[in-house]
Amino acid sequence: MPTEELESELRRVLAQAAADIQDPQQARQRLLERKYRPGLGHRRLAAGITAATAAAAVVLGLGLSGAFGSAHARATGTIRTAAFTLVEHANGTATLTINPRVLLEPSTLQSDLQQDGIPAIVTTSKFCSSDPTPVGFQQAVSGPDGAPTVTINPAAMPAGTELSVGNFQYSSTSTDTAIELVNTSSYTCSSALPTPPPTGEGVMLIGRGAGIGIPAGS
Amino acid sequence: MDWVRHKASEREFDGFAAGSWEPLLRTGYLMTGDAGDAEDLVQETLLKVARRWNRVRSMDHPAAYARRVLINLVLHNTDRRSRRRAELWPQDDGTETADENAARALRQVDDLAEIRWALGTLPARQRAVLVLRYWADLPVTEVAEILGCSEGTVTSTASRAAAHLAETLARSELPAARTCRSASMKGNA
Repeated sequence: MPTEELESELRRVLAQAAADIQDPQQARQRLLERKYRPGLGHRRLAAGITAATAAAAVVLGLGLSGAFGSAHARATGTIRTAAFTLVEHANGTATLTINPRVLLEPSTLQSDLQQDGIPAIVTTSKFCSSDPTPVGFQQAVSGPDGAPTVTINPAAMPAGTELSVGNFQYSSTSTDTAIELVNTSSYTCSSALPTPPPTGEGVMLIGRGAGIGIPAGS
Repeated sequence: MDWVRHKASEREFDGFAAGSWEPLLRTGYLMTGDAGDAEDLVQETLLKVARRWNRVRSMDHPAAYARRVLINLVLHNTDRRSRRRAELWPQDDGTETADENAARALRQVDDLAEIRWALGTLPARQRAVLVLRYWADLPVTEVAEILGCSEGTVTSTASRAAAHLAETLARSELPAARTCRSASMKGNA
């Protein structure tokens, strides 16, 4: 095992070397547009990756687009993932069920909520909140006691607010999720899981092993 | 209901790709030393993940799976000369003095291109150990699991890789050794 001093130097130089990559945003754009063409264009084939593998990858890329489809109708429906289920209702509300045993992908839930008309900041291992907390949480978010399910009514969310959803892993098989309203223009994020206030408006917690929802003020 | 499932899968995969591309790209950059090669690796990785997305999406840590795919892409496609080169490296003597010398050599380097070049002279498995252990900050047990070896092998490889990295940096001039392969072959001659 290298000494602590050497390990520290290794961490430093590797962090610097990794941060030195030129213009990753261009790569990001290509990746997010699914312009998957490894080894073609101006880029060289990765060392040791064969041309045959690259060709197969291109075919796979085209297959992926076909399987997922490029145009989608937007209608009421259900999105079910390992981490959450989001059901959009005809009246404009949505029901979100969190699986407390799976750490969610924040960008996925955030994107899905936004497509259901629910502005949200979804984070893992941190939670964003405003001080003071905007009023109107209980009108916008409701849920039965003892269930990891909440109903969100975006029409009841005050203008200039959005939902903050923070997902925390507290063991290898369990997560907590906190939900609160924040002011879009003014909020801060911290790594601390919020605690529900004893009364009134506030934060909702889902999880803590048994999958129990704890509505604010209950 | 098929469209719902497909749409959900697509959006979920897009979300996953959006959240994981950057750490994958930087891991690939450290493993290859080249931004274009790193992007190729990330694309190959995401294609492999997409192909298995129905299974990957239900994993506890899809990003860890993708990182493993990327590392394995590099390792499994490294040519035999790299493995031979690994065998030819002198064995590390395990003394604390060697580590002190290595740490000193790393401190004295201020050219990031030189560090990337020196990383490229390491056999792929040694590079993977350094990147996973000291950049991704994974525990030894997880590195061992990814690489399919024992924890003892990870720690000894880390020591050996660090010593080789420092030795390469200490004795080599970047302009005189423009390519990793020619430089490392010289070093082993």
